[in-house]
Amino acid sequence: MSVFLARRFLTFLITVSGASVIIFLLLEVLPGDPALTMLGVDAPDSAVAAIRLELGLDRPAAVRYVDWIAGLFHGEMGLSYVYKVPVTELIGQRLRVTLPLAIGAMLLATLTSLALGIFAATNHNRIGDYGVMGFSQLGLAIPDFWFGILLIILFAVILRWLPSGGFPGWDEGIWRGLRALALPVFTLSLSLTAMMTRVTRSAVLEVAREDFVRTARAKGLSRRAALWRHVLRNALVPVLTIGGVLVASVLTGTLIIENVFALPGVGKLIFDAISNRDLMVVKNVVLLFAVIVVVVNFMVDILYAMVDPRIRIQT
Amino acid sequence: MALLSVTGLTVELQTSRGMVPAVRGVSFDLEKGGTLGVVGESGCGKSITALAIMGLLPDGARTTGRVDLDGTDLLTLDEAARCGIRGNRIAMIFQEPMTSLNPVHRIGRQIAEPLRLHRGLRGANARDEVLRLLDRVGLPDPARRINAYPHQMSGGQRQRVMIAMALSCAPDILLADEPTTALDVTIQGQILDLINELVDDTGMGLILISHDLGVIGETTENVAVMYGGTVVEQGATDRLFAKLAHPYSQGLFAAIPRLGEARRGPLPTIAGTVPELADFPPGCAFADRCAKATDVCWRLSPRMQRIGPAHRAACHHLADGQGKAMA
Repeated sequence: MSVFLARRFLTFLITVSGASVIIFLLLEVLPGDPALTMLGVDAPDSAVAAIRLELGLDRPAAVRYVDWIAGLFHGEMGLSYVYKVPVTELIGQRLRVTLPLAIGAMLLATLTSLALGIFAATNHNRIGDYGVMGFSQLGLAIPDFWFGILLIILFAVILRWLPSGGFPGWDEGIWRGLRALALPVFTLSLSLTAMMTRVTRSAVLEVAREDFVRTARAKGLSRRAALWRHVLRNALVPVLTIGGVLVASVLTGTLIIENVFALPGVGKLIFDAISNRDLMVVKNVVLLFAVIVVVVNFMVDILYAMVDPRIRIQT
Repeated sequence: MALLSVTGLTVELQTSRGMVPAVRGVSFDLEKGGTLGVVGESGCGKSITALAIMGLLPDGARTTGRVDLDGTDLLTLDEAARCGIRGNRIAMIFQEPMTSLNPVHRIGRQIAEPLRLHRGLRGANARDEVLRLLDRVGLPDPARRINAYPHQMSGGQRQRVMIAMALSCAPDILLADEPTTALDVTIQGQILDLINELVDDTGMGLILISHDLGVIGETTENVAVMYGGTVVEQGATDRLFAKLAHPYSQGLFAAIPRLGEARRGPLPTIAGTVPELADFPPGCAFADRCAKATDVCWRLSPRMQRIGPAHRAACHHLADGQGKAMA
């Protein structure tokens, strides 16, 4: 196990360093000078140069890269060009919205899709199966933002059950915060649920045909007991895989959802930062997303080994 | 009364070509403690017959006829009642020990499952019983093996685990579907010996399904030869082997290579291949591969006829050869 962990940690370091280089280089070659954006295109050269000096943009790229990474090791991400506050502080505030949103959507999608996928598989080629598959087809086809707008029209405008957008902050009470996140979480979970439902269904169907399930039934287990005790755990591996992959789309999904629902989260932060050429914010947030994706997939690998003993032996 | 009595069992399976009969009017009896071999090529319906007895046919299958266990027709029981019989009164072991065990559970837990289900054994009691069973099936070092995962064991060891699982509730009948086919030849003998020994010791009945006549000949008192979903010949093993009546049985026996005998020409084979289930002729299932077939064979299914004490066969041309001694 320690060898497994050590190797995984090494992979983690390599992946994240690679990601940091790519992010930095991409932002270097992308058009748009932060100083010009802040001052406007008509600004005199001397003012632009002064700003560039103040932001440290006059130094060579390599120096700025090393500076950035060194700062990260001290827990510093630099100052936002636009807000003039530490990026760590900005991200910290915004994560309070985005983390509950992303985790909520992931949890909701996982629970719903497991239930729906198992239901569809146990009703294979019957009306329940067709219904679930039809729903999942729809879920995949509907764009997130449009679904979000539909939900706002229904639940906020017509029924007036939930707020249409914005976030009061957790200081206003957990209940109000949760209410503000309900529609965004539901919206973000739609396509995830659709995809994971399909994977769960096909995994359960595939495992249910395995010889050992017949063995379980031959012992006298009912269909249901065989499903719970023998099929599900084996069917979890592909579901975990797709779940790990989907974490990346949840993170990018927050970008759209937070804009639709006007939520002050990390997705909105990076969206605004890109518009303002606040590169200090952009590169740190993108790197944070990369780290989250890598960490989640590392956890997925550990979960694999917990679910299937054969995987532990092979690593 | 026989312990298990199968009467006119017919099984239709759902296929892309509609409902297709896989088993057509199979009948046989198994006495308490008796042993029956079911022999035939792949696709002759022997495994489907076993699954029908267990009640584990694929979805959409249609079963008619009777399967009486101690006078109760299993086919009329509801699913819960059948679950109470499976693994308890009738246990089954399968051909593929590599895939028949759940890869994510320790073998101890898998063997304990029927004990918990049918005997209500839990914790230390279940563990003691599992250890006893593992020891009984000849698995070395049971105390260590009980915590192993299937992938850490060889095929022969896994089949021993399957047997331990089947034995756990002291069933009246053990259904063994090609239990040695997937194993190395050296291991095959050990597993067969183990099954024989357990049958002798416990007095349980055995239905051994195999395509291997040698295995059947050594193991069972009675034998049923199946072809195309029907039993074409059945009887006491020694009588049947001494005088093969049905052309299919004769072909099957002729096709066995024999050690120590100089080969004169190529090994005899049965001409043609087994037809698709949907394509069997309306008359005798074997008609299109049989050298003796005449018009009547194509039109009419032959009836089972008695051809000697404890020996019957279904063929329109039994009188022609009056059987043939095994070469």
